[in-house]
Amino acid sequence: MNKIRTKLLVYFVAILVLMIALFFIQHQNSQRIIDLHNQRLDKYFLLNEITQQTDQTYQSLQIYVNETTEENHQYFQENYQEFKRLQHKFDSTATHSVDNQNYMNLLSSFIDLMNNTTDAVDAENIDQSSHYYNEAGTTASYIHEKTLELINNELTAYEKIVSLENQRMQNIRNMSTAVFLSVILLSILFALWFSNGITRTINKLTNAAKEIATGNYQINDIFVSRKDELRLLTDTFNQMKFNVVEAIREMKEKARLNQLLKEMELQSLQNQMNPHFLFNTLNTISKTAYIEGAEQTNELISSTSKLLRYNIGNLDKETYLKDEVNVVNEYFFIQQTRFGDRVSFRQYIDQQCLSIPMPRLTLQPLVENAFIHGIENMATSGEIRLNIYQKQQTIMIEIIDNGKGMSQEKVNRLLGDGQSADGTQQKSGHSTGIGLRNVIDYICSIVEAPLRLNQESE
Amino acid sequence: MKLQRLVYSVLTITFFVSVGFSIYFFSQARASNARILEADTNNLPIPRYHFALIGEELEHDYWELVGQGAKDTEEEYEIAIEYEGPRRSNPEEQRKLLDMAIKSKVDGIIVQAVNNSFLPLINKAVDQGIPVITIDTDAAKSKRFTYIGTDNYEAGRLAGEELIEQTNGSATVGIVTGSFDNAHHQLRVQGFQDVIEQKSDISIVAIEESSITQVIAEEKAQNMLTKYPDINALFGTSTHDATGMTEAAESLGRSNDLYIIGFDTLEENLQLLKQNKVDALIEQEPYAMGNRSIDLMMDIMENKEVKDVYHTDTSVVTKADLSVINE
Repeated sequence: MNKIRTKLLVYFVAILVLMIALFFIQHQNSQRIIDLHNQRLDKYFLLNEITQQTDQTYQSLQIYVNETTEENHQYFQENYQEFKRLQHKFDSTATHSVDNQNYMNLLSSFIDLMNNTTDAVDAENIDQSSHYYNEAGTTASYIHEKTLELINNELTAYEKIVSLENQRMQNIRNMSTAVFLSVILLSILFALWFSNGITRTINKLTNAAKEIATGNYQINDIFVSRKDELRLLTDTFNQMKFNVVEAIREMKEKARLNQLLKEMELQSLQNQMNPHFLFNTLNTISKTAYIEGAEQTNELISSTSKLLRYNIGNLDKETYLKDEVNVVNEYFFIQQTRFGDRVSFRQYIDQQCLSIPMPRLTLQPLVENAFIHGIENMATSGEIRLNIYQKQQTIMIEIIDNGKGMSQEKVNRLLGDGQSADGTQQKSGHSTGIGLRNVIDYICSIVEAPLRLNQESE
Repeated sequence: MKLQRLVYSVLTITFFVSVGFSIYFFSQARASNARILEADTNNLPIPRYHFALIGEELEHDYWELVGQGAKDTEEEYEIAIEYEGPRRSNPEEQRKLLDMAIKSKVDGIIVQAVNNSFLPLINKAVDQGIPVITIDTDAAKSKRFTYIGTDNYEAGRLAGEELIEQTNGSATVGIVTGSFDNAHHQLRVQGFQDVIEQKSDISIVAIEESSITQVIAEEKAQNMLTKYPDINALFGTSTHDATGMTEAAESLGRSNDLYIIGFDTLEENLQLLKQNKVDALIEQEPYAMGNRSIDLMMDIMENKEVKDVYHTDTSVVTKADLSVINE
């Protein structure tokens, strides 16, 4: 992630490097001019030194020629060596040009002539020595002339170079100004871009926060293309908004379920008025029937009364699977009495499983469901089986009918919206009134987990 | 928002412009840097040989052509030519330049041997192993390797013959010569005098020297014409004599009745010819002289045989020839 700090750091380093580069170029430039100047000056000094030394050497030669003493010879030799040293220096520093070559040759001619002179003096050949001595004199004057010419030429060339150098300096100065201007502009652009980027993101965040504050959670996520701390901030903000929306959704869901539960309780309460009276009446009828010796009627009414009692009992009271199975038996006894041999009820029940707690009124509605939708319309041999057994850690409760099955559409409707299922379902007289949908919702509210319901229909 | 965008674009454009300027000035600085290096090092390739060409007068039109002819061979042979000469015609300075060239140990010397005083120096150069070619004016008695230039005696004869023909053998002649001392002028006058003496009764009444300058030529010609008013033909042996003589003739109001013959077909003289102020010019080939002198010097460097004398062409140019040339 590009931190804001990194951005600033990179920017400042870049500016610094640029400035240092500029400074370096300027410095190098002035250094070059100084070097050039010194180089030239050295050359002029050297040339000047050579002419002076030429004179001095020639003078020492003159003294030696006039008075041939060891002392004078020594003096001449000193000057002679110095002159040779200067000649060598010129040779090593001067560039290769025809003029310089001529000058060098002139110097060596002078040296040759001085040698010839001293040789002639040593040989005491006065004619020769004076001839060479005079030649050396003219050569010395030539050296003077040539030196002047060389200095002239050098100055002319130098003048040209100086004007070129000035031009170059001017160019570099202009370049520096332009670079400086560029840096300033770049700084302004950077500052604008940088601050705008920050304020824009913050504005977005502020607006979104305001929207949320007014209760509008339906705003889009904030997106920023930057990859710095502000990105982190917006991402966190988006996450927070998502969490809030999620929490609200969950709250709404819970409220809906509570509402449903209350409605169910209200419904059963409504039903309780009549049932209590009905229950007492049924008990009375049952007793009367017993007294009158109508055993079948007695049993039937007794079953109905048990079923009724179970139905109107307190929903919160803890019940066990065993109670549920008993209610199913009662229910089936009534139905069998009603339909006779057309229906049969078989059960396979593992007695050990019956002691587990079980929500009240969950099994009977399912059996009823199987009865009404599965086998009620069959003319003969309708069968409902109830199997309860343990499979590993799970207790399996199977309610199987051999009825005609259900169309997919109906399955969907049953498993779909509870309201529509209630609305369309006509309360038929042979139902105890608790629909499949209600059972599902009820179980869901208890286990607090989405219930997956697969209905296998053949 | 619109304003902000405008500010942004203006800033960006200015930024790029200034960056462009930076780059432009940087490249300019580099270019001038390259030029400085070029001017500073001045590292021309060291030529194989370098020769000194010493003429009579440095900025003389005629000698500049000789120098040009020599200079033009520099590239072909990879050599360097130092064209030198006194500012004003001055044999003493010319000798000094020759001596300097010898002491500078050049590879070869091409010199105008103005007079006999050049002999010892030429011999000295050859003794030191520097080949010498004489140009324009010969020093046949010296140890010079060869001579290239006009046959000056023949050129003088040519002028004389032309004068006899044009004046029908009857005229009174005044001569303005470049120098009494200089061999080539002597030879030209000699050739002229010889042919006049042999072939006609023309008399030469006066002879003066102009030091090869126009001003002195004019002065001398004027004196001559004043002193000898019967002079009706003038002969000049050096380049600017013709100009000087016509100036003198004009100032004396005698432009029309004088026959004037001069030397060298330089532009200035050709103009005079065109305007009928000069009647004939002896044409020399200074460019070819300079050019061929280097060829010969290279032959000497390569140890090839050279003849003792090479004569360049001389001819008479009149106005009739001029129109032919122009056409």
